[in-house]
Amino acid sequence: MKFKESLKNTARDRVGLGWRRELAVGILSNLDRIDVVEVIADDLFNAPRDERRALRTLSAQTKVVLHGVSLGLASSAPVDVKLLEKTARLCEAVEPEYWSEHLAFVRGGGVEIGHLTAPPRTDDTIEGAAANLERARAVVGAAPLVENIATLIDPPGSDYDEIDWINRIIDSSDGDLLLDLHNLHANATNFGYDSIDFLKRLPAERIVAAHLAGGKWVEALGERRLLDDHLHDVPDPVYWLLTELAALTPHPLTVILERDGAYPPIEILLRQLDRAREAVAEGRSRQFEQIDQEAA
Amino acid sequence: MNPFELRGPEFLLFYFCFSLVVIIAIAVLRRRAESGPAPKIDLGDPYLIAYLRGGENEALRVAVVSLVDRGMLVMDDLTIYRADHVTGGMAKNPVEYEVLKKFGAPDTAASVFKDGVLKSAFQPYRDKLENAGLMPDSEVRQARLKRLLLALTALGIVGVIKIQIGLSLGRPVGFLVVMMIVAMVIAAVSSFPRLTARGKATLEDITNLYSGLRSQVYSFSPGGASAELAMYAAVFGVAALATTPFGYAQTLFPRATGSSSCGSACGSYDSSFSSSDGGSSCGGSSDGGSSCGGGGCGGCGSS
Repeated sequence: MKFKESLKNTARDRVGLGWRRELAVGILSNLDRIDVVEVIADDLFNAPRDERRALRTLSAQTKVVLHGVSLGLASSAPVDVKLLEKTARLCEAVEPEYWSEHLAFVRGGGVEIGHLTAPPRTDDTIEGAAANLERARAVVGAAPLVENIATLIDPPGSDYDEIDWINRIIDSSDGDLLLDLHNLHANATNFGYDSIDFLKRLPAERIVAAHLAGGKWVEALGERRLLDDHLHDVPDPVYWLLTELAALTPHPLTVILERDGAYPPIEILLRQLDRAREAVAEGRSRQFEQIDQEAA
Repeated sequence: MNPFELRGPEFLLFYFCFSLVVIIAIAVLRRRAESGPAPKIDLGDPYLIAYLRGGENEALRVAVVSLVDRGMLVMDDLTIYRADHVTGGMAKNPVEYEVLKKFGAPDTAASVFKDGVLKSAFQPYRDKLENAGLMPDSEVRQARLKRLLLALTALGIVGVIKIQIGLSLGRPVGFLVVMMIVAMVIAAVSSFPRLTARGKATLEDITNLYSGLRSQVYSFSPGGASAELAMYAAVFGVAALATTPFGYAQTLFPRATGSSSCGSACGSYDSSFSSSDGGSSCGGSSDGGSSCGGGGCGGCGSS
């Protein structure tokens, strides 16, 4: 697979929006305020040919990246090669700058869970994820960026906490990280750890993209949990995390706002993109101040 | 086998097949010559898309429907006039400006089709689409003409030789003459489609990218989703509004189909409705602040 350019060589930080048909008018009418568009790969796997072909007209207007939701990389079971081949064909057609997938498991024993599920954080799933990432790289031509997921329960049978589990998977593969900041915020809130500390323990040089989203409070297992539902506006702590992230990472970041329903007027989403841009800029200026201080 | 030695009915069958091959060949050559990568154009401009799909008349229909939806034009039975509060500065682009200016005096919606100034406002769109290779420019038209002349020559030479042979033998040639004329007419008509192959493919892609509007349109309320309404009308046609909450569009344009050729010079665009000549160039973009109807999930769960 031929990617348009190396991600880490992109000239600047970029902020964009997830492509949803319901937002087509808003997105295509405001490409001067949207640097990049993220397309859900799985929506197109079985789509008619002309639907896939339309993406080349979309990618002629703006940068396009692909995001997968169904591979189930974080599993001791091998990833479905047919899905990888579909991903490869899509990447050939669209030539995205990168493609990404979740560190989740989505099926077991041939049964689809229908949800991105946190697997037990064990050596088995670390090795399985590393092997799956290698398979993905071999079939698609480039390893995906891997994304942390949100979970309402701490996966039973785990030997590692989330940060160590993610770091071990990243260490054992050549895929970089797409950090979902709302997932990080939700997990930190639900399981009582410090999100900034989590962020600082990730390898900053491997984080090249970020997701922003919103969620809501729910009751789960008798406790109040923050659910990542992509149906609400991005909350303040996620922007704060974005600033921290921008202050840490040496590479330009690609930041995508995900919204999957309850769509507000496009202007509200554009304002969230503007705020994300400001958050990144603030982080970058802190980074430069720190560099200047160190130089002095 | 010498086809000119074939008997009447056999030669007619041969000539039919020969014509078919020639017509298909020029279509394939045209498609090959006019294809290309997806262009970068302003996909947020409903008038550009309407012009690409159906020409200036369809783009004018979209402009009138959009301005009525936004309350800038007022419908009074079959007559339209500009709302009192509207100024030229409220127009999003030169096309809207010219339409608003025209309806300073009440008139029927269909009167826009007879207005030369309005039609000339679309020249920049034509230029953009020609530059992007979506509509034929003079070079493409010339190449089409050359291919057609070659085809006509081939059809003509084969037909005329057999007609001469037939006449010299005192055989009837009427069927062959008719077949030759029909083949030439089909070759000529099919040689000059309004869009290039690239334009046709891009239009299909645009229709696909905006396909979500097909279901969304029923959740729009008049005046509540103007950008989406304009885009729906641009992509799927004003006629497609008939069964939506915007059925008034059919009252305005009962024969909405769309397609026409382009005007010539560009009209003016200023913020008063005072002059129609003044030299500013016509851009052609519409902004798109909008509201979106509800909808389902794009496919990602808790990611």
